[in-house]
Amino acid sequence: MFDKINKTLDFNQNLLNLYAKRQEILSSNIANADTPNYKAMDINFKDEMDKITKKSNLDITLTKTSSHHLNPRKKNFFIFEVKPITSKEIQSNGNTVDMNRERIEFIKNTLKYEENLVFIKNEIKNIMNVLKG
Amino acid sequence: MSLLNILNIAGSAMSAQSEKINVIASNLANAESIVCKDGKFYPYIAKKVIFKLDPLKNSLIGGVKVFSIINDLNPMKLIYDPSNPLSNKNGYVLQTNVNPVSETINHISASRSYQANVEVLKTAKSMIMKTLSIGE
Repeated sequence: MFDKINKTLDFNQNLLNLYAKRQEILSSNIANADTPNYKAMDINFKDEMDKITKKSNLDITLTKTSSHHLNPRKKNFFIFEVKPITSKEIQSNGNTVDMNRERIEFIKNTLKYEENLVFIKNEIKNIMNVLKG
Repeated sequence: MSLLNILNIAGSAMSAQSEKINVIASNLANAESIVCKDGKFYPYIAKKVIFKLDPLKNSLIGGVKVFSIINDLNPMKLIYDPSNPLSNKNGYVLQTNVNPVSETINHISASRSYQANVEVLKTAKSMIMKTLSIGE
């Protein structure tokens, strides 16, 4: 049973991490809207989502010297691939930030993050209801 | 943690933009100023702020920092004013290259960027607060 709880919470946790990272990238784009030669960055949501669902990340193993040692966590989802956006529009100073796009994506990403938080909250509420009976 | 990094990124952008506004204010205020250098008098030269990416550790993204403040390369105006004590023998005076129109436009754009970063900061804060209330 706890495995199931872990699974749902784990997935949501990874997703929250992904949204938080994306939020960071978008805020960096907004902050650098006037910086010469700055290229707007983003992450490919589909690829990262595939990584999370397939769990095909590199395994990092620890040597166990005693049978009482716990199993280490095997996945590391904190590394996301950050890529520059290919956009047609380039300002005269070599900057590729499209402020309208960034602001809209920023708001969208915020809402998705908060939506995910609500999911987690409800999940916890359900578990608490079951536990209390 | 990514969300806390946002506060640093938006904060650095805000301080960079306010530095830019500072320089613009100085340009506008000194539009009529005369600079004395090595016993000679020159008109004030407009200054420009150059921004640079201030990357986070091992990453392509990050905040902003002021890379340098350079002199504006626009040519100075020559104005015919023989009564001016600084005029040359033909009666022309060099005048500053501060362009009030472009300075005002730059000021508006910088303050809009500042506001955008304030919004980012607000959003990040509310996200963090909501995350903290997850188990309630």
